[in-house]
Amino acid sequence: MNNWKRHIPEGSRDILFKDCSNKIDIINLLRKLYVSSGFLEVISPTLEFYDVFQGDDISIEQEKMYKLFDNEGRILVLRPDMTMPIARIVATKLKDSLYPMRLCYSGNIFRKNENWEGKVSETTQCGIEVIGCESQKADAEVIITAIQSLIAIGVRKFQLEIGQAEFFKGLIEDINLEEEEIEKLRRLVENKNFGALRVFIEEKEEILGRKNLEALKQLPELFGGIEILGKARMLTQNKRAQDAIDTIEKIYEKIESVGLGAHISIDLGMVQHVDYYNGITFKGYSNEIGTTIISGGRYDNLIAKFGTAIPAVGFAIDVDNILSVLDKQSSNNKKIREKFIIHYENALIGDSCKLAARIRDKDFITELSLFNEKEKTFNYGEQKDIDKMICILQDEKLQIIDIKSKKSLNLNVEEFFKRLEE
Amino acid sequence: MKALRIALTKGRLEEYAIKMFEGIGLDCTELKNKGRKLILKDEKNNIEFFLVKSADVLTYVEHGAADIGIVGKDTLMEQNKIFYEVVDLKIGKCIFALAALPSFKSYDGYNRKKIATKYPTVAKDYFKRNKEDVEIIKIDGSVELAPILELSDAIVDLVETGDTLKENGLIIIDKICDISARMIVNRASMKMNKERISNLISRVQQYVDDSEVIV
Repeated sequence: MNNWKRHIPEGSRDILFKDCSNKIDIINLLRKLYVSSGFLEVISPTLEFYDVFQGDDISIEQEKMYKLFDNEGRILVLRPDMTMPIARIVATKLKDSLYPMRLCYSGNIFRKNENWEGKVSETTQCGIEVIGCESQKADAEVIITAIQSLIAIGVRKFQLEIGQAEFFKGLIEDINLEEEEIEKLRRLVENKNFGALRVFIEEKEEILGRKNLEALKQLPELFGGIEILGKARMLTQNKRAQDAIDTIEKIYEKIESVGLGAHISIDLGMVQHVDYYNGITFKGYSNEIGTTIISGGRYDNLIAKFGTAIPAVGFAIDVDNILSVLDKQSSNNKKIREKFIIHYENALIGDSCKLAARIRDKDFITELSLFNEKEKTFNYGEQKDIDKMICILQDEKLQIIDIKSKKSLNLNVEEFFKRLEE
Repeated sequence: MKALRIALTKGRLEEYAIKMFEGIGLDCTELKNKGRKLILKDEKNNIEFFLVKSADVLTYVEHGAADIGIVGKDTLMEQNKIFYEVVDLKIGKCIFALAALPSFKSYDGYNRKKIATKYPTVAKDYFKRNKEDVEIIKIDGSVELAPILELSDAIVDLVETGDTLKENGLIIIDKICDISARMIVNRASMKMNKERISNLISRVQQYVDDSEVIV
């Protein structure tokens, strides 16, 4: 019989040491940024009811969810998304709160992937949601916060691409197409399937009418710099589509005046399926990896699915993808500080603990040796890349041994700290 | 600047892809004389080509290890992956078909039919669309054997000329869809490298349109 005691499931992984610290550092950095901007932190449960993620038009594919049953036979899932649970919380516990309200979170989501595709099934997301505000000020704040987040965690080259779900919806507004065919059309646009889209539109020319034909045909190509908006405006008279362009333009102006315009591009052909988004949507890409590092948008209709209609806009950063980007950018400029190990006689444990606490206070990593022989401590330090070994002598004296050069120096405690400060 | 990486499908499509890339002015000298090299460069245009099996083209492109891929629509349909499908190259044309011995009947009672195929996803989607309940058996090659040896009632397979079917006494019961080679692009690459990739796409599209006129 197979025994999996020493293995982990496909799609999961252990994160150790440096990778682990880097990940937690990023999460903390983002938390600090959000909390200092007035966002309130929330934690939602890892296990939720299946129904939270299941709706008529807004749902996560059931094949992608890890499911289990509770004692009463109800279906539970490991949450596959962070925003839907927050929508649930807002529509229930927070429905009588003062709005607008800013929420932020960090947590793991779970999605089943096929085996052997090099994808992980548990990923960490950090994100924000601005709830109860329809204004473009909120849209702009969310996008600006997104850009500032990426800059703060050290992503060097990235593009945040803005789309507007309403633009496509406007173009197909008065068209008499079956739902199935609209879905086909949407998929052709989403996949930038230029050729097939052309054929589809030519076949359906009569139904589609002349009005928005050109706009639909060119939709997959309507991505790039801000100049795309001018081009798009020429292609349609539809009010809804025109309004969509206006929103992007106004939001762009705001971002531009903050000096972050260089990070923005436009894709009017961004028409996602898992569509709780209804206004602006955005995705972030970097040079280093082939997938999105951040995604977000406005989802005014989602919270209503949980019983209370409240508009909202937000984003989630994929922390694991960010880690791969930072890893590939390499040349991490993080300053590496000296590390210490303290070797002590059993009787001097009190002194050594006090000394260690004082060095750690100065932000140096300090461990206490677990060996009784000086030589073993030295060898251990050498192998663990520790810089200096400290032995506690009598009368407030310390012996400092530089592990690399093997040079030794006797100092009293105060002298040692004076030098440490330098 | 990083080189643009293009993954090509080994075999039948390789030759045409080379002709096409030469036709739009890329330098395919290394690609044509590859020897044992795995990465074949066009230094002048800063492009790196490599050759892999069709399903791997998708994997490389989805992960962004390749920016662009040349691969058959059959492979795209079988695997549910994320990418932009930008040009129909109109070559390597064939069809997906449901084929069987002439004695095969589409409807005969309540027996659940067995379908042998190399493309279980394509077969499953086809029967789902037709609201038929079938049992799919995955076979890795010479699918035509399955109905002859009574492993299955019918097959779903790529049909190019129909000769193999005919020689083995099988007939096409239903055409499922047309297949041809496609150019696909990684989503992030398209955005981060818009100018170079859009330019390449329009040149390839132009080449395809021009060749079509000649045919």
